[in-house]
This record gives sequence, C-alpha cells and structure tokens, in this order.
Amino acid sequence: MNLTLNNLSKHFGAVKAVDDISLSIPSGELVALLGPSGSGKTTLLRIVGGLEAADCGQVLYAGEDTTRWPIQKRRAGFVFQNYALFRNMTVFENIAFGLRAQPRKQRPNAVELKRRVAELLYLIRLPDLAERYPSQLSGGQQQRVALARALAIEPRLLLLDEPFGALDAQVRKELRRWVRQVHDQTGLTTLFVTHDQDEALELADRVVVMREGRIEQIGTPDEIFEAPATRFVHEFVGESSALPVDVRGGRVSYGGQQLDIDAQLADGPAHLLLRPQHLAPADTGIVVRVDAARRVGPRRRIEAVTSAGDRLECEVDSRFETERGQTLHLQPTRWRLYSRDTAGSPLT
Amino acid sequence: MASVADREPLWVRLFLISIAVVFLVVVLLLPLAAVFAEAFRQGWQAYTEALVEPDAWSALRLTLLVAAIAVPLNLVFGVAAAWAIARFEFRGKSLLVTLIDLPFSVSPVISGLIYVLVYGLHGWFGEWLDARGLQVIFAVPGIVLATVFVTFPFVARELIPLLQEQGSQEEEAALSLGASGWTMFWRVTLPNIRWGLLYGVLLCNARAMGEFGAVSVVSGHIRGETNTLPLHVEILYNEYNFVAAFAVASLLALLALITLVIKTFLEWRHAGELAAARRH
Repeated sequence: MNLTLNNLSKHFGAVKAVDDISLSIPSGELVALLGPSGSGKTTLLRIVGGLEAADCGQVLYAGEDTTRWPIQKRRAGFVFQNYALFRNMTVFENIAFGLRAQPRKQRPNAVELKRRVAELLYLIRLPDLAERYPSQLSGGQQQRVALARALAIEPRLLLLDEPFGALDAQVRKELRRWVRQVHDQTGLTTLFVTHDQDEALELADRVVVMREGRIEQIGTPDEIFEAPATRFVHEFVGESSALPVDVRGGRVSYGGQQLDIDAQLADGPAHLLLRPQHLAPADTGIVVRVDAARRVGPRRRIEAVTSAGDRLECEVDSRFETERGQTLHLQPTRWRLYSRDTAGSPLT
Repeated sequence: MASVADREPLWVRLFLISIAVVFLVVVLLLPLAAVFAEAFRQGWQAYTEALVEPDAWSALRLTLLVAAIAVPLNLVFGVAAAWAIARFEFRGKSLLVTLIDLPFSVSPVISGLIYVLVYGLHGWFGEWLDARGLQVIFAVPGIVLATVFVTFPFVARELIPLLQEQGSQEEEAALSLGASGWTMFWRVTLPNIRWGLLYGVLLCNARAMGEFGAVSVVSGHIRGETNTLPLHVEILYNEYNFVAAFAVASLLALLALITLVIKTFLEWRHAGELAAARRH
C-alpha cells in the first residue's frame, strides 16, 4: 500500500513537533525516519498510525484520506518502542488479541485462530514460547512477539518506533537482518523511526532525515551518506570536521590559503565538511599541528588543529607514524561545501 | 553482612526496640484487646444478646446497606476520575485532583455539615425537597451522601499513580490492533489495575462502614432507623451499657482486622503492582 503525507503539522504547546511535512512512499518500501531526539520523527510516525491527530494536513492510505478515521479502522501495525506487550496475557494471547478484536464477521474461529498464531510463532522463531508471559522473555524475544502481534491483523502498513533501541548490540544486528527478511517476505510498506544512522543506512531503502519537525533530506542510504544535502545531515550521518572557508570565483580558500578544491557554489562564506577517511597526509594541503594520534583497530586516528584553531580529524593507515606537535599537510580527497547563509548550515 | 544498625551496642538496640514495642502495645494492642475483653465480660450469652437486639441488628443492616451503595459508586467514580487524570490533559485537571483530596483534608464534621446546609430543612434545597416529601437529612439518603463524600478519595488515590506508572502504551497497542474502547478497558486496562483497585475498594469499604463524624451530623441518631454501627456504639456507651457497646464495637474491630489481613495479603502477593501507589 502506498502512503502519502500532505502538509502535516502538529504542535505541542508552543513546540512545533511536526512542521508542514509532505512525503510520498511507494508500496512495499522500507523507509527510515532518522533524526536526533526532538526532531519530530516519533510524532510523525504516531500521526501516520492514528495514535496522534495532526493539527492540519492529510494522511492518505493508498490514496484514501484517513485523517478522520478512528485508529481501529486504519489497520496500521504499530510496534512500540518498549514493545507494550500485554503483561497479563501469554505470548499466544498477545498475538491472538488483534484477531479476537476483529468484528464478529471477520473473526476467525478457534481452529483458524490457533493456526494463524502458530504460523506467526513460527515466523518469529519462538514456537515453543506460546504459554510464556512477557516478563519471562528477553528483550529480543519481546520485540519479535510485538512484531508478530502487529502482523497478526494483516496490517496495511508496518510502523516501528525505535525498534532496536533497547537491545544490546549483538541482538540488534540479528534483529535488523530479520526485520529486513520479514519485510521482504511480506512486502509491507514499512516505516521505522531511529536515531541511529548506521541502522537507518543499513536497513532502509530510503532514509528521511528530520530536524526540528522538518525534513532535511530524503534519499537512498548512498545519497544520504555520499551527498548530504545540508551540513546538518553531513554531521548527523557520519563523523565530520567543519572548516569555515571563503568561496571566490570557484576557488576555495581557508585562512588566506588557497585550497586545491573547486567549488560549484556562489561566492561568499561557506563551510567545508570533511570526513576523517577523506583526508590524507600529503606535500601540500591544509597545514595542521598534530594534537593526538591514536591507534583505532587497524587504522590510526589523528586529531589535529589548524593555525586558525579549527579541529580536524583524519584517519590514516596505521603504518603512518606521527606524534604530537608535528606539522602536517592534509589534502582532502573528497569533500562537501555548504554555503554559510542558507538554512541548516550554521550549526555549531 | 552486618548493616550499620547491627553494629550498635546491644543495650541501645534493646532500648530502641522496647520503646517501639511498648508504644505499639499501649496504643494499639491493649485497646484492641480491651474491646474484646469488655465485650465478653459477662459471657458469650450477653455478647450475642447485645448483637441480636433489634436496634443493633438494624444498625448493622443500615451500615451494610450504606456500604453497599457507597462503595460501588466510588468504585465507578474512582476508576473514571483516575483514568481521566492519568490519561488525559484538560483544563482544570489540577483542580479535579485537589477536589478528590478534599474529603481527606476536611474534618468529617464539616463533610456532614455541608449536606445539612444544602439539603437540610433550612438549607438551600430544604423547602423544595420537603414540599415533595423527600427527606435527605436525618434519613438514609443523607447518610449515603455523606459516606460517598468521605470515602471518595480511596479508589481514585490508589489508581492514579498506578495508571500513571503503567503508561498508555498497552492501551494504544490494543486500539491499534482494532480493539474498541470497551474491549481495551476490560481486557487491558482493568486486568492491569485489578489488585490496586481491590486494595482501594477494601480501604474504601472499611471507611464506609466505620465513618462516624460526617454520618453523625446527618443521621439524627434515630434508633432502629438512622443509626449506623459506629453511632450505635456511641449511644450504648453514653447509656453506660458497656457490654453492648463493646459487643457492637467488636464487630467493627473484627471488620478492621479482616481488612488488615486481606490488605497485608495483597501487599505480599502483588507487591509489584501496588508499589506505585504505596510510594506516596
């Protein structure tokens, strides 16, 4: 089912949680809403699921305006951040809840119900835990039960709020792969909220980066990481250092020094954004003094300071040896330039 | 592992423990024992005679009737008020919370008096009610009203922190799975608060049967008609009929003991679900 959001806004008191958001998601896509806390991503997800009413704007399910629909009619499978399993019910009863709650005509009979729940238990690979209570399950198991419960109602789309937030690293990794698998099997349009850029980039077909209730960028993981639209996105999706530079006639200068970088940017002050992996020691380039050099796994991480006092981080082969106080030239191999006066740029 | 308290000298420990024990005995255990001792002073027969005496019997029936009306009413009011307060943001919410606490902060005598002032013969609605042959004050309706007022906070107070701690996510999950509001309430909300609710009802009931001050003001003390058990105890006592007074009082004491036992059992068996409420 394709999902369309038109000009959604939502205030909490004076705070604009969601600010005029429009978005279109084709059927079957797996989309991440990525942003720091307070960026409005969870509120947006709750509006889509009908748990929150937007102040204005529309939510279209397959072209049908659901804005005034009661939550029950939407059939959005919602998985809550802390799973929200019914603590007084067994795993079986949790999964069966949505089936039993259906209108009498659609409600499956006892045999059918058992079969459906057993199917879902098999899908989440917990066939033996049907009679357990939520408190007797690990976090990862609870998460899977929550997903099975949402899938039981044959939802039109799947909404996941920080699905891996409370799990430890190993379980997260496993579950990520599994969620991707379930998505590919069911073909459900899926939205998930996360503040973890690795999770978003690894799992999603498309990533929506949000900031202060607005969409900062929409793109594939490659687009988001390789061509961040704003300085905010650049800094949010990966490590970066920023240098204040001047652009004049397509040339970039930093602290009076001309850099070997060409700019497709209007003249004026700008920010040069560099990832640690995209800076290499060379004979020419930005002059820095080494502040610290540490081994990070197979690589060496150099923290350096320019003569103007800006900090740069650079990652090199561990065989490259340097020490504190040494002067180096760092040559950018890849970079992004953001004009300093456009929205989203001045961020310190 | 010895705690800091264990390292105090023996005499200090014994001294402190004795103070606590003596206090408990003097203030709680002796009076309780005295109730039963006085009640049985003239033997089992005098005791049972005092209980089956028509006025005592009628007081018992009235007390049970009042509790049977007030407790279910406050059960419904309490759940509704607690749910509104814990789940929704609305104008006047803090005022509602204050109002729920009002019966606790106001003297029971005042609680009775307000009903006399409003529904009494010389009160605001007195003439209107009298003209229609409806008597509230010095009659059963007044006693029920005063009891409902005094016992209102128990259920709500117990449930508000419990509901707040549990949050609304399970309820939201139920709705998103297609459940109606009623299904959500019966299958998700209520099971999660049942022990807290029972606890609140228990305290509410104990107070409803034991209330003296407010009921005393509105009752009129008509023997065999508007006397509840606590009022009957007072009348008997004032008439120097000690055996009967203590016999009736022992019923109330027994009720208190049973309430305590169930309460302790609930706290022991369902500590987790009650923890939120007992923190305040």
